[in-house]
Amino acid sequence: MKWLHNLFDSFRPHFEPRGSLGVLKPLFEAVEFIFLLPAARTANAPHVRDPMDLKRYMTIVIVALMPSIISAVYFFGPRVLLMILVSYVVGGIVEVCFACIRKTEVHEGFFVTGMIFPLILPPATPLWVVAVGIFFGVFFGKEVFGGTGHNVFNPALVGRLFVTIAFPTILTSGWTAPGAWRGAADAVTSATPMAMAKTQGILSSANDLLLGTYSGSVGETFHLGIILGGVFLMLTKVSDWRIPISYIGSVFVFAFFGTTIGGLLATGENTRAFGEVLIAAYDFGVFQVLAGSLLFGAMFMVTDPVTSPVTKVGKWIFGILCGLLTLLIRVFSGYVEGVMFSIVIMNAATPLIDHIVLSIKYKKAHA
Amino acid sequence: MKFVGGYDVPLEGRPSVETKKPALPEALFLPLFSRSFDYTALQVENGESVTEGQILATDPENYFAPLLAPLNGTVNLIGVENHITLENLSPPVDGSSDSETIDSDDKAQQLLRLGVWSFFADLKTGRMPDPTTTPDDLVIVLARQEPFYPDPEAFLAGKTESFHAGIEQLHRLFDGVKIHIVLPQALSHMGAQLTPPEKGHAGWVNLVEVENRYPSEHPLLVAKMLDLDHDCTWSLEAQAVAAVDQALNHGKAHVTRSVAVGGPVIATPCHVQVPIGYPLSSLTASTDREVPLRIIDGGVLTGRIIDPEQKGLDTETIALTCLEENTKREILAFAQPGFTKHSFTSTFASVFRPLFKEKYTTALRGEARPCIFCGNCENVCPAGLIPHLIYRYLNKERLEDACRVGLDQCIECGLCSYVCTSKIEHLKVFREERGKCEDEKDSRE
Repeated sequence: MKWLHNLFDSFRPHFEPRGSLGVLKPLFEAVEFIFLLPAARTANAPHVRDPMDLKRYMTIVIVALMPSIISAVYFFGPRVLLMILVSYVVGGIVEVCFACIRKTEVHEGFFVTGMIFPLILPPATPLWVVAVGIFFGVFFGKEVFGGTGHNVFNPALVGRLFVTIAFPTILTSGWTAPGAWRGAADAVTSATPMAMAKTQGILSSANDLLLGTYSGSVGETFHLGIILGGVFLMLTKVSDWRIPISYIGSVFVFAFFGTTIGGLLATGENTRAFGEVLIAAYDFGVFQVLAGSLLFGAMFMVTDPVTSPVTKVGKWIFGILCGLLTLLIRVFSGYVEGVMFSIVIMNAATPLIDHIVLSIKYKKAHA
Repeated sequence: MKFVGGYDVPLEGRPSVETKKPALPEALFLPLFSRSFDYTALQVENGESVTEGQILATDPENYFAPLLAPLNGTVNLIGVENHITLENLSPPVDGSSDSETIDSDDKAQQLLRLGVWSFFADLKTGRMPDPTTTPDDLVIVLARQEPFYPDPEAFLAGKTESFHAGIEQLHRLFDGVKIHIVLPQALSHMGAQLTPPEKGHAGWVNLVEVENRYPSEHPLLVAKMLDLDHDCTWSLEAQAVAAVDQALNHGKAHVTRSVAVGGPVIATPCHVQVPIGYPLSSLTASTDREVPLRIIDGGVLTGRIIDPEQKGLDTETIALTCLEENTKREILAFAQPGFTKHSFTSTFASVFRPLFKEKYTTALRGEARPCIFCGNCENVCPAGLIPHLIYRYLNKERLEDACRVGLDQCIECGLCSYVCTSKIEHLKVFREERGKCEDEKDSRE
């Protein structure tokens, strides 16, 4: 691999501070260090270090997203890859610009942001909307806060929220049926299960929801793959299991008990036997967990360590409140899906949750 | 108290329990400094002949802790800078032992004079305690689990009687002291041997078994577990127990010791029985390759890099760990499966072969980044702290908050920096700032 060293060595002088492309040094180093790790040594104790670094961390997340990406291409066609490409290029340009201005390294976080963003868009979203969304997300969701590690909101969700509000008609008409791109009829309708449940009261079957044979956001339909990826993240300890479990768990529990209480309080011709009420409540709970973006959000977005609480108790509180908010928005608001809003709202509450938990913890320790 | 956190770095090159006695060198190079001492007050002149145990220099800042002549020889003060070179070496004539019995009051002074006292440490300050004071509790850590410290099976071989006698001397020296001997469960078979019932130690010797995971044996954690008062608790290096016996019962100076020499680049990692001042180059010369080396005084997590200017073994070193300095650039490191890389996380394929030992180098293995709150440091911290939170406060110069969330309870084990995904130097910063907590508390009161 001597040639690789030589290749970078031959280009390096151009990117030195006095070279013709000196401004782009962060870009050059980002590319170089992807291929060749710097020969850096520890300067003080501990003299040895764990091989885990930020690049590995982000790579593991991308690996966990693979089932979603592959299923997305299968269901919605190669155009998905184009969406990912646009997202990477535009997001990458923003990231590199900021690195050049700040004279810091290009941080790896945007590899995940740039991948997640297209996966949470409707399949027929125009490419220019993808570009605008990722630009907004990386710029206003991350860089203005100070870059990696300093952002309050999940950058991909900031971008998604922006395009949802800025281009409502484009976003709500962007749903296509899975397999339609190759003329196959994997599903009969392009309406999303969440929309059908909201407008017609039809709950899609759990099987369909697991296998993803219905319409939905690009990477959010194949729930079996999302679960696999999420479990992989938890097993590798890249994501903390507390938030996904409490989030999904609370959605189910609130949906189940809400429906049960509603069913028992019903009067007149709506009165049903207790057993029937329980079965309906269970079905509704399972549907709320498996439909929409909940699993994707729970496995890949609330687990972003920067924008979720750092304390263990805080993680439980965060997950449970996220679940409650998601369900409230889904059931009682004009929107069909509440995952995005609830996560963004809870992102904002994260510093407060941590602050309260830490004050109690350390007040106790000093008492 | 359940032991949480901790991690064993699976470093290759553990020293075997075999102890070698290398031949006497041409000359000994005695550094006028060590981790905690500066022997600035010279007591000998250039060209003077000295005998074993004679004081060559003292540290006026630390109760005149002495630097002793390990053998008979001639002093050369100008040979090597910051060292006393001892030439024309000859072993002492035997028969000087079994000196007269020493007064109890003078025992502490005798230990100081013979180079044993410097192996006591006050738990609160981490420094050598005042020889006129006594502790309520004494913690003796038999085996430190950081790679690589001397193995008690090596340095206690044939010295069990001396160990018993040392324990009894300590008991008499510090009236009413409770002695806690700490050993990991893997060495529990040594427990009975060290505190045999017929010795009648029961009541004042307490055998503490800890988990086989670094740093469960740390004196500060043991003190916390046993609820000992930090102000009146000392620790004593395990090898020094036999030295206490030798000093008080036989009048012998502690100038020769067992040193663990280990690490992946050492050809035959083992223990060596050598006098202080022994040339470092010949102790670490047995490497199998021509690679740049880092020689560390102590273990790989907390040790101090030995300056190439230091020629001989100093008065405190009991472990030499050698690592290859990293010169390589890995190709696509982040994308490799990682069968040959151990990690605290489970993101490398090495999870399927947990038993292999890795050839670590001094590579940083990644680039420095802002903290992403991955939580590894919190999960590994044996003191139950949240290192990234403390670091964040210190970064914003909020010392008061850093102390409130436990900076003063840091035991400086180095694991938070070891596991850090963003390669943040917590240990360096915590070491610098930890002492300030006390001042901060005082100023608040």
